[in-house]
Amino acid sequence: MSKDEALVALVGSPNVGKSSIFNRLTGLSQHVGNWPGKTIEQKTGVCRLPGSTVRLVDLPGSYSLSANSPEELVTRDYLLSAAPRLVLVVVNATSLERTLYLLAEVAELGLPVAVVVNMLDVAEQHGQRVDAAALGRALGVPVVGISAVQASAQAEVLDMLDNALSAYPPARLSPPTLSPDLEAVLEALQPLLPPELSASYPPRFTAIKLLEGDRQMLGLARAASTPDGWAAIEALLEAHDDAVLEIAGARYAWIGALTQQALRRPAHGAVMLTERLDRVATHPVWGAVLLIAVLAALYGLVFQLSAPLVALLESVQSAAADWLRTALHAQPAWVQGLLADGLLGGVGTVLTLLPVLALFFAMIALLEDVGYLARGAYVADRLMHRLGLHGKSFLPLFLGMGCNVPAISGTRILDTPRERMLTAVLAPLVPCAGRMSVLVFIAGALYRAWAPLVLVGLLAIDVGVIVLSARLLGRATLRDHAPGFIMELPLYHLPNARTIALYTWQQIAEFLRRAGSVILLVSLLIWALSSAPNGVLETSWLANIGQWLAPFGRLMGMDWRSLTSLLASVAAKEQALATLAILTGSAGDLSDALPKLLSPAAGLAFLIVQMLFIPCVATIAALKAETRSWRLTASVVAYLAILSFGLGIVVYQVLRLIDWGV
Amino acid sequence: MSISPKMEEYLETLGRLEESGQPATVSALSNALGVSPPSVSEMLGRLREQGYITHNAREAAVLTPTGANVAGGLIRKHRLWERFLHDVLGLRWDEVHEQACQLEHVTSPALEERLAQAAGEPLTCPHGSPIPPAGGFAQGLGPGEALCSYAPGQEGIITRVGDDPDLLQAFDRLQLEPGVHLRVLEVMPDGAIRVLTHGAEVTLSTAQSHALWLAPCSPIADEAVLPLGDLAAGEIATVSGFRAGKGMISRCLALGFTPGAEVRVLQNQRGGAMIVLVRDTRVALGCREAQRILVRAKASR
Repeated sequence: MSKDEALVALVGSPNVGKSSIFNRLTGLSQHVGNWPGKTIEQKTGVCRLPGSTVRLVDLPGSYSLSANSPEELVTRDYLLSAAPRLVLVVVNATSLERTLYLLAEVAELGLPVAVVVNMLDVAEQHGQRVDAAALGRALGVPVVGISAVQASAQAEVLDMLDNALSAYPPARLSPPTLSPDLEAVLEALQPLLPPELSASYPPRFTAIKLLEGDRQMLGLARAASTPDGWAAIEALLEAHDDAVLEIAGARYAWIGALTQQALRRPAHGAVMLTERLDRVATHPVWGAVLLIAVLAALYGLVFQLSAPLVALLESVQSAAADWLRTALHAQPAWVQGLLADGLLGGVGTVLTLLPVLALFFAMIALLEDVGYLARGAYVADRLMHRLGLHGKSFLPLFLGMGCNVPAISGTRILDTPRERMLTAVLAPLVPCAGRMSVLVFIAGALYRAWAPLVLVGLLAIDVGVIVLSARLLGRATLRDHAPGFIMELPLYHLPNARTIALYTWQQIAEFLRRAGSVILLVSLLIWALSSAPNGVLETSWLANIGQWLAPFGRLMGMDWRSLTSLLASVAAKEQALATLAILTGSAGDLSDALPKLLSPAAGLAFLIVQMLFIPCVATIAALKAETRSWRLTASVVAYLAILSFGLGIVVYQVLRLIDWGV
Repeated sequence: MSISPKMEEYLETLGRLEESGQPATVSALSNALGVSPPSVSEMLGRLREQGYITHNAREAAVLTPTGANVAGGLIRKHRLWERFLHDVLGLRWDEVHEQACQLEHVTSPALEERLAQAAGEPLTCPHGSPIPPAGGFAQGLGPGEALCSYAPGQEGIITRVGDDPDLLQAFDRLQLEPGVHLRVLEVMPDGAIRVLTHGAEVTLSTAQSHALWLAPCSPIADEAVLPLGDLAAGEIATVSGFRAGKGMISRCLALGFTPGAEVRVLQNQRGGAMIVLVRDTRVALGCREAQRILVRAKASR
């Protein structure tokens, strides 16, 4: 970070629209990474002010600064260690009091603060008025009220940022005062704290966290204290066991006094838009119907919209391959093959996947942005409960339909390691867009008019496998009960195209970064294996591997080419098609080549294996990153391999017995 | 002088007995370790010679400061391992004890320190027993009385469970873990206890009721106070308190459920989740969570 950059930390509770503000301020200058040693996303970006440059750090959504979640711990540690020039606290006008709770905690840290009151428009729609100027006067720090969806929001926030950063001395908040008794306890507690702890945490803040029973702070304090020192601290804490209630009460009293002038509530009894929509969306029956309808519409829309794009990209790819061959006609055959088939084939695979992925991410972002995803989780809780999962697990599993990688990363939103583990292990069973596109393509080529039926059947099998696996895993390795379920249901509001576009762009970039190069490399590898040693496919190394596995493939009615393409799909699911295209020597007309390769029965076995087989390398990498266990990752891979080939063999053998489509 | 794993095992068992306030007699040790009384006597002799224990007037072994140090260190490593195996590696809570028994003897001080960091400097093991501080020995097992000492009508919050694997599996099925609230309904002649927990009645065997420790909490004396989950859609109430552990309370407070805050029930699927409005925020709660928040009913609309 250069000297003239001011570091500003962006904090806020979940659902305050913090990300859209961050996106508005930083645009495409964002850098997305991970917090050191954590699997929580770290976003930083730069925004320019008239007089200076601001480095904005988007801290993970936190309800409080207690260590109740990894996000809250990251936020707390960052604020304490990075000493930002300014803490920009985002609050939500529709639930002003509750989102100001975090501000009450930030006030305790003694850092310069400015406040953004977001979603004034949504509050207005719900009959709630927030006077940002009055709040600013009461707080004594810069406050701006905005609607992040409006174009003027960016200028207003930048203007306030500029003022806040140039103010000298910077405006600080006076923290909530506690009762005289509790203040005396804080006074008594602070000198007892070990010096090591006081060096990295403000003593008053530490004392409050200890009184609140913060597990992480208690652990740190004990580890740093002498036995006698700890005994003294513990005795004091035990004598004020219920201080946690009083401290929270004091914060809300502080908030109540501040918002008295600034907040006007709707008339009692007015029925709001959210309430009306929730009558359907959270209804035990209609909610479930709606959820299924939404998912079905989402699938349909994604594939309807992406089909022409994919077709276009495919024709571009084969035209480019032809052009390359003509341009390179003077070069040796292997150079032509390497570039036109190997390289371009791999690039084409990545490209044709992008429309589907982009649409999926956009749809998911849309559902999240309008506030529906939380309702979906609530409705799904009953079902998930039966699987020994939390309703929240629905979200990552749902994301898994786009791509398993974000699904596995998305398990971070779950509260306990057990849920995270179980959901991450189940996620690879959810058919991702890459897999779906392969399934749709192959089913279309093999079964024509019957393809939709085949696909529905496949999905039914998949759901069955997920349910059985969840039960099995829940019993065998993890505790078999649904854990705590508390989540906020945000108000419905209009989606913001910019937020959705940025989210989609980031996810696509992430996909290209993680998977793009792998797909390309493996395309080249497969091409090399199938060309070496002498350029003839039938005698290539790959053919040797496939032929060596052929007896196994015969159990499913597949020859070595189908088997090899299944193996290649480990690199990336969509690699199956690229490999088949290369192996059958049919770059542009795979649809016509497929029926010659696979009988209808063998095709079903192929589809089942493809659907359940080992996830792609990117997914395996994500699984390892999230579970932090090679053993568990390897077990999942082995489980999926046995499951998929087992089911494939069973299906083919049964069809053979009844003499169907062999 | 180095200590053999066998001596470590004795010292740890002595530490555990001392922690729970039981006299470490030859018969108690022989029971706990599954060793014949003569071998126990012989080993106690060696431990005394080397200055780890003394005998008190009633012929029970007592740890010397040196012995307490060794015992405390082993207990600390054992429970840290349990925490780590459970929280980080995701082992079931009935599996961790046995694994930790083996790992504790091969854990260097440096590994112990890293383990404590990786597990987040925990204060208790997954079963709720306190982890002694580094280089220390915890006196006592923290707050809580065994469930078998409770009378009908009394209530408490589970602080600790015994580490017998079979009992732990049973507790797991019944969702009995630290932080969970119980009310004793009836004590049967054979010592079995009928309790109310998670809104349902459960009968616990004598063995189970000896392996659950609870911190007493005062029963709801006020008729108007009831669990949030018992309210129907449309009812309005104010939060009056919690029947839950510190972590759950802290989360509820941050979400706005502070004593005195008004809560309106928007939807309640009995036995499933519910939606309430608190401080202008819609919050969805599972039925278990809804049983842990206590409210005072006000009026209905």
